[in-house]
Amino acid sequence: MKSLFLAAALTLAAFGYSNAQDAITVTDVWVREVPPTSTVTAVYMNIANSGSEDDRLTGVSSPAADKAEIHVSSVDDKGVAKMKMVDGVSLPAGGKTELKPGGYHIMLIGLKEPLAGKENIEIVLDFQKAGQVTVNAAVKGPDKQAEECH
Amino acid sequence: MKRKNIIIASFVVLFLVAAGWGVILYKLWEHKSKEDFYGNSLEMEIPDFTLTDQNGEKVSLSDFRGKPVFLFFGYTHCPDICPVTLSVLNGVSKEFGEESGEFKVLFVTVDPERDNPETLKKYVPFFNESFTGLTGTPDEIQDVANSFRAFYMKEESDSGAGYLMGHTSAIYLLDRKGNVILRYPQDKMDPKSIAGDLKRIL
Repeated sequence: MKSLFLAAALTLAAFGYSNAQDAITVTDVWVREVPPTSTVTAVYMNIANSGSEDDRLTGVSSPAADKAEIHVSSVDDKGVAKMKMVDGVSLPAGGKTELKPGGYHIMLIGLKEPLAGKENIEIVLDFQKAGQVTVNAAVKGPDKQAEECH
Repeated sequence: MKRKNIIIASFVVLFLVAAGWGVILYKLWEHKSKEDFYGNSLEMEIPDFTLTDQNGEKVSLSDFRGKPVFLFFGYTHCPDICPVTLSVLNGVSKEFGEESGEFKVLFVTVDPERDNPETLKKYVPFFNESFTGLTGTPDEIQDVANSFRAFYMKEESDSGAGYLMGHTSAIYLLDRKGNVILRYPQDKMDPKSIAGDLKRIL
């Protein structure tokens, strides 16, 4: 009985260790609805890494847009907001990383169709260790966006 | 005679002391009431300016005399900070419901090269029908930004979105006379609290 328990524990541990994809949990994914003529928008989410190893978000894409890039917004001490493209987002082991307004976000460029009227769109995330994860981003209209801003 | 002079002098001294205390107490009260605002106090006189709105009409700041005005500098190709801020201002309007006509929201583009009236028309009213988007010649925009001591610059990037703009990201609140009284940086973007400040000055 004792050895069975040990075996089970070892199997679980081995599974947890080897399967990095299980370590990554992506929640609260949403995309900002923009005016129908705008072709750029931003996607936000929370990424939890419950694994024992650091991981990294290295690439993004979406069938809904021609191109997707990882950007970070920042505001300097003079209140000037800037945005720049980055090549990835570090996901420390055991940590939770937020992609949120005013910080890291996924920028969709060249939206193929307006988001109005859509429930959600597909976003493909590439992780260095966890591999590819596909998530659905809920479309949020202008009235719902303000709730996310603090 | 001498005694009369002394009495008068005493009254003058008493009056000055009382007036001094009055000024001190007023300043303390003024300071306290300013601290009570959610936004950061900033007093700036803004000279009148005229820009072009999303319908191609000339609009001056003085057109809104008598109403508080929220003013924000941004650009329509901005997918993060600018929609966040316009959504916050929409949230402020929602707090006022039917009384949202008591104040005005102006969005001034810092990217006149791409943001002509047609582009603004497709962008600004999306967040709220009552918001006005303003554009102008590069010189006109620069002059307006200078009066607000606001900063912006074009930044070339490898992004597929083309160039990006760095820009002052605070919302300015102007009083009924058109002078800046409060400023909301990006870490003070709670619609309810901003609406609270506005209720106090309305």
